[in-house]
Amino acid sequence: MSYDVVVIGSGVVGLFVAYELAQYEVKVLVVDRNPEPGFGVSKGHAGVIHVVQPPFNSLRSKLAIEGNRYYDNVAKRLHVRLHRLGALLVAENLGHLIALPAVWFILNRVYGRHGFRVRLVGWRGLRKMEPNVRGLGAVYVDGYGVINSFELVSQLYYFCKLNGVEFLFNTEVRGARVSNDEVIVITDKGEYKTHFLVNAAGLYSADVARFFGDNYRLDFGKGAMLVFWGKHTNNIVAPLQLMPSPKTKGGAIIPTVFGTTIWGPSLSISDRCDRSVSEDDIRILTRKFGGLLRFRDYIPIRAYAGVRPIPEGDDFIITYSKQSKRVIHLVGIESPGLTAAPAIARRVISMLRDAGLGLRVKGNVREVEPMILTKDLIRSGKDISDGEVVCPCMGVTKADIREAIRRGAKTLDGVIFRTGLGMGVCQGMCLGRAIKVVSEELGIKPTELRKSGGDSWLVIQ
Amino acid sequence: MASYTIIGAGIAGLSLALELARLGFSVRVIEHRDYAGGINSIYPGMGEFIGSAVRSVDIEYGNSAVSINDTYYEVWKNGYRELDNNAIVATGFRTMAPPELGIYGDRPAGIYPFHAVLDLLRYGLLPGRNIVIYGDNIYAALLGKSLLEKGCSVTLVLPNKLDLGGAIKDVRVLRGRVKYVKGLGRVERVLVNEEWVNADTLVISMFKPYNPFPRLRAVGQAVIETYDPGIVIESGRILAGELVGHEYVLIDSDVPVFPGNRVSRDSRRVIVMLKGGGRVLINDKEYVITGDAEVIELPDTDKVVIRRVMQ
Repeated sequence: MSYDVVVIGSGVVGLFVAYELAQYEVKVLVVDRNPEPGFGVSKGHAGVIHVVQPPFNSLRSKLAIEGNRYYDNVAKRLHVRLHRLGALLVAENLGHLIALPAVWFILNRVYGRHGFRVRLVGWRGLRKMEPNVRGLGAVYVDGYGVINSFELVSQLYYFCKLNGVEFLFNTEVRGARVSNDEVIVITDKGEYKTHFLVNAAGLYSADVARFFGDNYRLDFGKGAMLVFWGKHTNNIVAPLQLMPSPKTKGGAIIPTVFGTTIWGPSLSISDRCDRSVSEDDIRILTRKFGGLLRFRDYIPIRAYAGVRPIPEGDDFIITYSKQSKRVIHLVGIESPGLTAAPAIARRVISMLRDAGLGLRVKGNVREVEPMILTKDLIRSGKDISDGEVVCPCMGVTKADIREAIRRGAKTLDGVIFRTGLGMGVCQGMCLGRAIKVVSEELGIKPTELRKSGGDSWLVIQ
Repeated sequence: MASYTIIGAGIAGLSLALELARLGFSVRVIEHRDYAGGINSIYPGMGEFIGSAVRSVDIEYGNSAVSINDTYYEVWKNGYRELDNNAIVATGFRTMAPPELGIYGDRPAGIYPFHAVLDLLRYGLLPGRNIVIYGDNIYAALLGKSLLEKGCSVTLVLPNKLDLGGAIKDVRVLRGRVKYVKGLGRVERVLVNEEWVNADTLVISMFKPYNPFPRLRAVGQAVIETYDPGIVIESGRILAGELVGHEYVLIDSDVPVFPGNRVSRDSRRVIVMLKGGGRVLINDKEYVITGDAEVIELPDTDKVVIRRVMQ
């Protein structure tokens, strides 16, 4: 089989590349080792659209600013929930308070000219903006966002499917080579020919690059996050760090679009498959963020971790293969990869064009309809059907599960990500019922249902 | 006369419904699941109470209460309506979440809250073969017994002392805390204190009272931490008396008291909560609380002062 472009990886970056390509008359295949899109790096972040990204002269800082700007349109077009808010860097002691004007001056110089409002907030102002935050003052940076990243992945995927992009899941790339005007991609499911290849393989991007003789070294950074039931703050809140370094930059108090709050992520070096959270991780988060809040008697409902690929030199690597311009590597796309992804995708498109890919705009691009859940219907006073509630905490019904499956969910996590099922305060008291309903709707036996593919079986008879 | 909607057909909701019906109110019970009794459906001897209540109370199964943007709705297959202040919460305990219990590690398939396993058993499914149940209460032990009868191997991990009184034989019991779960796809091992236990399933059976609809009144294990079904049933009767009461005894207490800071003068029965037990002074008379909560009849005065006796 022959394609114009093969994208390896269906995380947020690979999907954005496919989404951009879907606007043109090209034949695209996306290959992923996981059973569903967004099950790799994209599964474990905090859903923040960033602004401030030191060092300011880095590629990722630049792409984050660019990507941030694209998000309103993307979210509108794909009907993804995006809340715009600000970030507060809070001075907790006198030293920090004295440094605040300098921090303001620098950030305002860097980001002010890009249209992001940066201002100093005094003690009283802080109290007014964030009644629950302790602190002597803060620098406020406008233009941040929190997004339902599961919905984003799902809608990008759905858009691509609607517009003819092909997907191969549970498929591992075992090798690849360039021969004349073609790239041969060897997978465990067979060989695929393509004119161009985009390596968006995330944690595996260095391995894919190696097939072409391109060597990059990746470290793997683990970010642990603690999720609470309820909202702690109105904005993203972090303690001011006077020496922010990429290795120690460490998260914030984040009000999510789900009405929950995330503390984190922390950052520690780990290995590629390790998504465990330790007591130490939680202690670090509690020490860092606990003191910022006045009232913190909230219920912690979930601790999870994401793994990110940290490249040598601590900056995104976006480049042609040394061997051929037919191969583009996206290596080490870590934080703020979600923010930068739309900008990265546009850059990839222009690189493909420069490398000789003919891109003719498609006449009939199909748009996706929003994922409307039963609770959205109720909120707007509309009629419902199949409203049997499976998950009462999050108000998820049988109809919602059916819709998630129609949009491509094949696993329990696929349904959970699209509907929010089981993500509430009780963390899955409804799972017994959910397993029954999801497997019925998928037309499989409950014993065949998986949490997220592989060996993640759920029940036995 | 007011008409009440009770959210949850557990033993608290049923007891409240029976009592309200007896007092002449119109009352309906909505139940999210397709069976009544909730977690007390596995409690020995409760079957009779649940069975007879189900026959005389109007229960609508598959109807759920849901909070959307802070508005409370009753939702069923093809419709919904807003719940008014005559809805009463009887949704029972919530299962505590792993980080709340200090359980860290991986998040593989096979970590289940108690209620999910109860439902699985109803559907003829099992959560796994080799099961660790974490919880120092009678429900944990009873679930262990049920799973054992289905051929599972069961280890019960008790963070605190629990007198099982021979309720469960053949269940391996460990004293300690579950601290860590390992497993990439499915649960593989569970760390209990410093010892790794091989298991494919961890069932969390530690509970907290929880009212998902804080603007509404609540009854039973949604507000009272008790593991005694008798007290849960009594709380339904007390709340019914409270709803019809005209004259009240005012309560000033430094420990939690159900139904709140007053009780109907006709019954004067309250539930005093003191986790782990202890003693309280009620208008200078000493009472002993055994278990985590106790039903006490207050003296017939306008006002009652309840103070905990520090040991």
